[in-house]
Amino acid sequence: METLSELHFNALCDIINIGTECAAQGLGEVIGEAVESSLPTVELVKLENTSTKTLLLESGQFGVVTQEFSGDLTGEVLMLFAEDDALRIVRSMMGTIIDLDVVREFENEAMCELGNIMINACLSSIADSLHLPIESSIPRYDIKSGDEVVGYIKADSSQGFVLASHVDISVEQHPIQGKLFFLINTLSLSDVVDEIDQFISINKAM
Amino acid sequence: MTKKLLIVDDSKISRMFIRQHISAKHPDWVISDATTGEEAIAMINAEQPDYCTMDINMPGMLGTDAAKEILQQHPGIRLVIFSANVQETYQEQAHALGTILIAKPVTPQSIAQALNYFTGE
Repeated sequence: METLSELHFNALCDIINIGTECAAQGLGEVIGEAVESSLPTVELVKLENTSTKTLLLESGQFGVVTQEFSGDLTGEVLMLFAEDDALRIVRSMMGTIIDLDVVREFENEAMCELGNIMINACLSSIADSLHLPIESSIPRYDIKSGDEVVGYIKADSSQGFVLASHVDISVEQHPIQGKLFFLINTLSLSDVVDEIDQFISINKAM
Repeated sequence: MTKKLLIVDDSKISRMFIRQHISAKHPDWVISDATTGEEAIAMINAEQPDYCTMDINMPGMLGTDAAKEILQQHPGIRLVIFSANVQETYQEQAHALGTILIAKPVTPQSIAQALNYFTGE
């Protein structure tokens, strides 16, 4: 499969958008603050065309949670926040139960748990929409530059495409930009197309 | 009467949040924790807790498999599944086990849901 038709891409955008909104809602529940999110923008980028420019990662360091998924749909999700935003989220998340002086010690654990909640909220929504049960791995957290993120994505050549979802999130008027990248192999994308056809026909019938 | 609760979750943060919220409501409860399903099964055999919260996605066996084994061996335990993975398939599995799946994150609302289930309210 080389690409998606406009109809399939639009349906996939709708499904990803719902998933991303669920993820943003998960963030709000974790930090106990009002979260507003923009309508995500979704792009399908071939692996060979990924770069810091195409993925909007041209400057700064990023807190990156990665989680593999398997089952009827196989791939990997990367959830990214600017490093400063990641630490701010951890402070909001942990501030009620630990001293803020030691919050950095909990950054890894807290971001893994936040990633687990946001990524699984998104994956659960996608899995239920497409009727494709998905299992996910244990999350990992790293600080990476944009070049390192792109290098990581390109390292696994079995993944044919990157579905890049960019969403602007505002937490108590403080803007945070979050990104979700879905690395999906070509075979899985064919399965997705089949399920989207069913998704479209079901929604047409309703 | 003092109750015993076992928290099963590989995430230290989740264990901390569950413990903090439940201790605030029930300071007399004895709370212990396990980080895998295998560890939970061993602890339940030894400690006989009244209640259990179980994550799904952990190293080793899935929480749903551990829950199935625990509930078969100790049908008197009130167990809830606490997971970020809220797919219909896992909700159906929880229902088939005779328990409930509560969506993470751990919040006062989700803890209230678990406590209501534990106490049968």
